[in-house]
Amino acid sequence: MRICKARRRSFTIPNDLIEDILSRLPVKSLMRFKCVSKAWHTLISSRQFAKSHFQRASQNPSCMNVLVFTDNRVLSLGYEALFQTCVHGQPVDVDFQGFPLWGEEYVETNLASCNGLVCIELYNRRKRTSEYLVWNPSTKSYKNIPRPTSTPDSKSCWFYRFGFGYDYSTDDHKMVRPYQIFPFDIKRIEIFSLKTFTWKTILVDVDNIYNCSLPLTPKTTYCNGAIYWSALKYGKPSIIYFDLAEELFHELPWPESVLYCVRDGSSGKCFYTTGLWELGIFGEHLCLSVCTGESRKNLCVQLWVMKESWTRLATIPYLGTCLRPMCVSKNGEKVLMRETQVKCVGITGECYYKLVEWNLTDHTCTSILCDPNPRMEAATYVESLYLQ
Amino acid sequence: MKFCTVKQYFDDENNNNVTNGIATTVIPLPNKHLKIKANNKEMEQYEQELLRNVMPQELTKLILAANYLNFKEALDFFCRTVANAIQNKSVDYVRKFFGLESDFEPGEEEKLCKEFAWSFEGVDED
Repeated sequence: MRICKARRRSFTIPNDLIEDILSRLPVKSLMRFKCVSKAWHTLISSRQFAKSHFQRASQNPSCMNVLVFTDNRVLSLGYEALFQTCVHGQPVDVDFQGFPLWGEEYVETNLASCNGLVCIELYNRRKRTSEYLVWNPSTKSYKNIPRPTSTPDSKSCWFYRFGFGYDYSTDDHKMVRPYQIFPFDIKRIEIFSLKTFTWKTILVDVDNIYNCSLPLTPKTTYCNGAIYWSALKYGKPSIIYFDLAEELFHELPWPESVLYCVRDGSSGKCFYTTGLWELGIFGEHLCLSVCTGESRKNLCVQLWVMKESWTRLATIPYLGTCLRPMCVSKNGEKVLMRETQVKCVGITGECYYKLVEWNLTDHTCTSILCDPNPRMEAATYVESLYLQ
Repeated sequence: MKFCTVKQYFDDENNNNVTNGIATTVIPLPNKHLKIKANNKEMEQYEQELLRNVMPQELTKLILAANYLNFKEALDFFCRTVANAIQNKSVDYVRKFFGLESDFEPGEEEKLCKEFAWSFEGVDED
């Protein structure tokens, strides 16, 4: 099929080369070039082209962006803008019909992103219900996710943190919600497929790792076809992941040499650092950021990266906060992290979040963009044509 | 490089018009590429130089030549150059460049332009 209806001329670029050229263009140009001709409109809107365009974009660090949600606005930072002396974010116009991001006080906004799409959850703390939306910030398109029909009543079950990932086997973006039914302690997982636009529920095998661990994570991490949760297994830290293609849970072993409990020098009691670790991403790899040390006065934060096995990447000073690694500079020296600070207000602790850049070579830390915010959430995304 | 293919290309009657462009641009590329392979910045400068000396429409001929000769590095280079050249251009410019005509029904095109109005912001003047 000739992709272009050309005037009679000697030199016409063949279809596959046109596709090659177009796959190198930014999304903004491609959305405009949908108006060139019907054939170009069909090509640019096609799933296959979105896939090949994404494959190219994901290899190009310049196509990565960071989205920051605060309590009153959304900002976008391009990769080139990060790791500079003065970091500026561009405000992003968000107006989702029927999905107010800054509506009420008892509603939290949670994010998960993968392969060019961002999944936003509005969690109502009072009613214990959630609404979801999938958004492509590059094409500015979004879809509200319908409520699952078979979810049990929120009073009889407890949902763990949702995850969002890409299934390579079916070329599909999926959203997952693991939950537990009381009082029977049965665990299940709901899966939403963006491709078929339907929900399904899977029962998890009694022997499976998921059934003896408690996924506590404040945010899930997607990496290479699987969604990861930090969990507790019989009181010890554990990492469980859900393989989207197999639809099974597995356990990832904790790096052996990392102590998760530290002896308090004076009392001799054990101080668990299990609350002070987070999973994130470093380049293409899963990254574990964990507070550890020989004693309570001698703590540090270690960054471990999962390649074939856990490899220690760096050790940085512990400054009383928990850090989630989000992305790394081209030369591997600087890491963008989301920092959680707990401020004690009376007898309760309130969490504040901010973005920081850690320099791994000289151990300096710079705050970027905005002041610590009780509702700051951030996610990275790559420019893509999925969802137009 | 495949010299027999090159000879065949030059002998082929249809391609008489491109021989000049190929001789001056495509053939020296392997040497240039080998010399500056490791250095991305030099390659970028060479790309800018090429864009200045070669009319955008000539790039089409260069792409076809590189494709015919199965010269992957040159093809990648030229495709990247074309992409950079058309990235911020208007729909009309791109149509002229590729020799295309609009085949939308009347009104259909306006509807699309309106739907993606944001993507038309900041586009280069023709």
